Amino acid sequence: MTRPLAAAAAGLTLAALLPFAVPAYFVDILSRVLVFAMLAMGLNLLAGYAGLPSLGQAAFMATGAYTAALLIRKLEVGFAAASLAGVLLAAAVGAVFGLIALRARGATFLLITLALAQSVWAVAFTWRSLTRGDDGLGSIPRPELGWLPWPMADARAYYFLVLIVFLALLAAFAVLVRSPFGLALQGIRDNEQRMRSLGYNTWLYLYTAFIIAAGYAGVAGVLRAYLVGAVVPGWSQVDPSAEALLMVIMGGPGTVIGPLVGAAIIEPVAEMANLFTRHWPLVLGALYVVVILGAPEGIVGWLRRRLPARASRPAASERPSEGLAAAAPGEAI
Amino acid sequence: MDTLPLTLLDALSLAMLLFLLSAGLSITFGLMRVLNMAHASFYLLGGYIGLAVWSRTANFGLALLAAAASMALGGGLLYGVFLARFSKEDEMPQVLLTFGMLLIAAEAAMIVWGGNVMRLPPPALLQGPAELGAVTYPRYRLFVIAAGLAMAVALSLLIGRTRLGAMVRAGVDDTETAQTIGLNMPRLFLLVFGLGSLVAGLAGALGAPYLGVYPGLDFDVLLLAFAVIIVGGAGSVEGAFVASLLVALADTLTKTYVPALSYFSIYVPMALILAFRPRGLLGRAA
Amino acid sequence: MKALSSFVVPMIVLLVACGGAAPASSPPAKPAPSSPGPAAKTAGGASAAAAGNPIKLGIMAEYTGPFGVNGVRIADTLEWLAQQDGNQLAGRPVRFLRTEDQAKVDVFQSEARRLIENEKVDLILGPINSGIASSAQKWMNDQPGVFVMWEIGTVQYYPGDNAVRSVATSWHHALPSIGQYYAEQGIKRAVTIGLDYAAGRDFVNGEMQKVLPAGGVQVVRQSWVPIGNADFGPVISQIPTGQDVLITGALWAADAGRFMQQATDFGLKNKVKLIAFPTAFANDDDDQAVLKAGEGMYVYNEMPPPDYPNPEYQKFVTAYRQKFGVNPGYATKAYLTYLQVKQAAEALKGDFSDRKKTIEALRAPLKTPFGDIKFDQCGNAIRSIFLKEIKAAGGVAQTSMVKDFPDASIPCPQPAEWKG
Repeated sequence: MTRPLAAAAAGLTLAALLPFAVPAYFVDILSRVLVFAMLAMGLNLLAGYAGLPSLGQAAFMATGAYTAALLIRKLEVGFAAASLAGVLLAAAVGAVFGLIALRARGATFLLITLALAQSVWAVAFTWRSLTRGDDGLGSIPRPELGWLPWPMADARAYYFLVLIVFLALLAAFAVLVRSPFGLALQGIRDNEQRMRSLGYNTWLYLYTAFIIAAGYAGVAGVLRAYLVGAVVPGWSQVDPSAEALLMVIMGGPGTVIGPLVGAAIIEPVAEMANLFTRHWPLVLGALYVVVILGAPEGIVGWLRRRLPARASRPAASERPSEGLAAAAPGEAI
Repeated sequence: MDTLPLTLLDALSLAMLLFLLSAGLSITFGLMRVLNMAHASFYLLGGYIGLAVWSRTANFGLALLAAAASMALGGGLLYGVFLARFSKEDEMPQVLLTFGMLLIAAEAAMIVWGGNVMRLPPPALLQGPAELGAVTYPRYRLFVIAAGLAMAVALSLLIGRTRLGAMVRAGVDDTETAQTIGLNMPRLFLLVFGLGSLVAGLAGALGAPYLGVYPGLDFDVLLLAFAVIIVGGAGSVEGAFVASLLVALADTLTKTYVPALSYFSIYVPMALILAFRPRGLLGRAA
Repeated sequence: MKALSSFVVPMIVLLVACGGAAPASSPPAKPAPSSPGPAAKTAGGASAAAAGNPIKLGIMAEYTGPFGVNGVRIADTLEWLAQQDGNQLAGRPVRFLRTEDQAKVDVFQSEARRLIENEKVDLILGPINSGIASSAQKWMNDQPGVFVMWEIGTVQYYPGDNAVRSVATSWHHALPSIGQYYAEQGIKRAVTIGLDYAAGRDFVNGEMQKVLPAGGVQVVRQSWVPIGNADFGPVISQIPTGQDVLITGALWAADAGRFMQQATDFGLKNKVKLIAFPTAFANDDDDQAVLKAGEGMYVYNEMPPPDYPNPEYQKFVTAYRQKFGVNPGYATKAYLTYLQVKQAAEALKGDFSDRKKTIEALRAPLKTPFGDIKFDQCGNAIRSIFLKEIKAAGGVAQTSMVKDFPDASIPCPQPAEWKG
C-alpha cells in the first residue's frame, strides 16, 4: 500500500513546484492541462468504467462555461453562485441528453452523443443575442477570493485554485469507482446482460454515470472560462471531445490517474504542435491509431503491467479490446 | 412561380447523394458492426482522385471509374490491414481507429491538394440548365438523381436477388450461424467493405461538380451520413434509401421555408426516431 | 502483439520529448528562404536595436485546416517581400516567426504570451480569426505587446491602444455609394444570401441598413445558409428573375465556390441583372476552376484587382505571378502590411521599444501603389473599396476593376450596439 502513497506524494510535490520551474506563459498551459484532465476524468467514468465512449462531452463543458460567463457578465452574479449554476446546468443538460443517448449502446451511442454535441454547438453559434455567436463572450474576469492574499489574475495563483479543485474531483472519483456503484458500472461494462439478469437496473446506473460525467465537464468548463477570460462556440465541437477521448484511451481507460496522464501529454503537445509540424491533425490521428493498435490499455495500464506489485494481479490478456472493454476492476490507481 | 417542384427536385438530388454516401456505411455497420468513421474520407478522397484523373485525361467517365476503383482498393486495404484483426465484439476500438484514419486522411488530403475549394467540371452535355416545361433545373443534378436511382436499384437487386446478397443478409441477421453453415465471413466482410467504400468514392466524385471538393467536406458529410444511419437503421439498403429521402427532405424544406433553423434540420428526424424507434426505420442488425 | 506494444509507449514518450525539446521558435517554411540574422536571442528594446539584433515579427495565424491557406499565403508573401529588400528593415535584419493559433482562444493566448515574453517579438501580426479577436479583445489590450491586425473584419472588435487594423471591416463595405451604383444599373429588387453566423449577419445588416436603401432597392427575400451548407439549390430556386434583380449578401470560402458553381448550373446569371458580393467572395488566388464558374459575377472589397492601373502595382503583380504562379488576391493584405511595417520601422529607426511611438508610427498615413490609407483615432483604416468583375482574360480568370469607392470608414468610438 505504500507504493501508491509514495507516488501520490511525489505527484503532489511535482504539481506544487512545477509552476515555479517553468516560464510564466507556460503556467496557463499547466492550468489547461488540469482543466482537460477534469473533462477527461468525467469521460473516463463513462468510457473507461461504464464502457460507453462518448464524443459529446465538450457540449457539457461549453454549457458550464457559457452559463457561468453569462451570469457574471449580464447579471453580475458572484463567482460562487455562477460557478455552481454552471455545473448544475451542465448536469441538467446531461440528464436530458442521457435520456436520448442511452436508447442505444456502443457505436450508435457514440453517434448520438456526437449529434447532440453538434446541436449544442449550433445553439451557441446561432443564438447570437445570448451568446454573441462566433464573436464569443469576452471580458470574463478571474474569480476574486478576497480571503487569499494573491490575486487570481496572477497565473500561478489561479493554477493553485484549479489544482485544488482538480484534487477534490480526483478524490471523489477514486472513492466513486471503488464504491459499489463503481463496481456495478464495471460489471455493466463487462457484460450488461449478465448484470441485468442479476437484477440490476443497468440503465439507471449508466444514466447516473452520464450525469456525473456531464457535471465533471461542467466544472472543467467553468474553470476554463475564468482561465481564458472568454467563451467561444468552438468549445462544444467535436475537436475537444475527440482530444478528451484520446486522453482517456491513451492515459489508461478504467484507471484513476489515466486521464491526467493523457491530458498532461496531449494538451501541451497539441499546443506546441506547431513547433515541430504544421500538421497536428495528422499527429492526433496517428496517435489514435498507434494507441488502439499497440497500447489499448493506455500508458498507466501498460506501466502497471510492467511494474511488479501485488501478486494477485490478474494476467493481461492479448485481446486488443482489453483496455476499453475489460480493464481489471477495482484497481488501486 | 411555383417553386415546389424545384424544391422537391432539390431534395431528391440531395437524397440520392446521401444515399450513395451512406448505403455502404449502413451495410458494413449492420453486417460487421464496424462504424467506419473514415467512410467520409472515402467520399472526400473519391472527389479528389476523380478531380486528379479528370485534370489529366479530361474524361469524366474515367474520373468516376478511377474514384470508385481507388476507393474500393482503399477500403479493402483499410479492412484487411487494420480492421480484420478485431472481432465483432470490439466495436469501440474499430470506431476509434477509423476516427484516427479520418483525421489522417483529412490532413493528408490538405497536404496533397491544398486548402482551396476545387471543382470537377462535368462533361459539356451535362452542363448548364435544362428546360423542363415550366421549371428550369440543372442538367447535372438530374443526372445525379438518375445515377442515384440506378445505383439504388442495382444495390437492392444485388442484396436481394443474388447469392452474394443472400450471404450478406444472412451475415447481417446472424453472423455466427452463417459461419456455421459454411459461409466464409472474413472474405465476405472484405468484399462488402470494399463495395461500400467503392460507392462512397463514387458519391464523392459525383458530388464534386456541384458541391466541390475541399478540406472539411468529410466532416460536413459525416454528420449527414450518421443521421441517415440512425434514421434508417443499420444493415439495410432500403433503410438507407428511405432515410436519405427523409433527411434530405427535412434539410431542404427547412432551408427553403425556415432558414433560421437550418442548423438543426437533421436533428428533428433523428430525435423522433430515437424517441419512438431506436433501432431505426428498417434496421436489421441485432 | 506483445512486442509491438512494448515499443508503443516509449514511441509516444519519444514523440512528446521531441516536441518539448524542439526549438522555441518555429523555422520558416520550405518555399521561402530563411532570413539571415544573428542567432543570439535579443532582449528587445533599445539595446537590441543598437546591437543589430533582428527585428522579430510574429505572424499569428492558422497554417493548417481549411483556412490555413490564407495564413500560409500571408507568411510566404511577407517573407518573399522581405527577401527582396535584403531581409532588413531600417538597417536591422528581420525575422518572421510563424505561430499557429489553431483558431483557439486558449492557444492564441499562450502563444501570444510566449512570443512577447520569451521570444521578445517587436510586433505580432495577427491573429486572423475574428472570434479570437472579439472574445480576447480585453485580454489583448492588457498585454504589453503591439498587434497589427491585417484580417479581423468584425466590428465587434475595435483596436485598443496597442493595436492597429488595416483591413476593411464588414461595415467598411456598407457604402451608400454602392447602393447608388446599383440604382444606376437599373436595380430595383434584391435578394440577399448570407452565411448564417456573426460575420455573415454583419455584412448583410450593413447592406440592409446602408447600401440598398441608398439606391432605393427593395429587398424581396433574405436567405440564410448554414456554414458548410452543401446545397444552394433550395435558395436558388426561390430567387425571382428579372433584369432589375440583384443578388447580394455574404458568402466566402467553400460556400462561395459552391454557390458560383451551382448558380451557373441553374443558369442564374442570365436571369438576373447583377450578382455582387462583398469581401472574400472571389479572391484572385483561389482555384481557377471556381473563379471561371464565377465569370460575370461581381465582388467588392479592399483588395486591388490584378489590373489595377498603377505601374508600380503592375510590377508587383508580375513579380508575384512569376514567384507563386497565381495572381495576388488575398496576398495583397501581406503587401499592405509589409509596407505599413516598413514605413513604421523607418520612422522609428528600427526601434520598436516605445509602445506609444510604435503605435503612432503604425497608424501614420500610408501611401501604397493602390491608394492612400489613413487611420482614425480608433486605429481603424480609412481606405478604398474596389468593385470588381470576374472576367476570364486570356484563359486566366481574375477580377477586373469596375469602380473605386474611396474613403470607406467606420464610426469612432465603437457604437454601443457593436460592443458585446
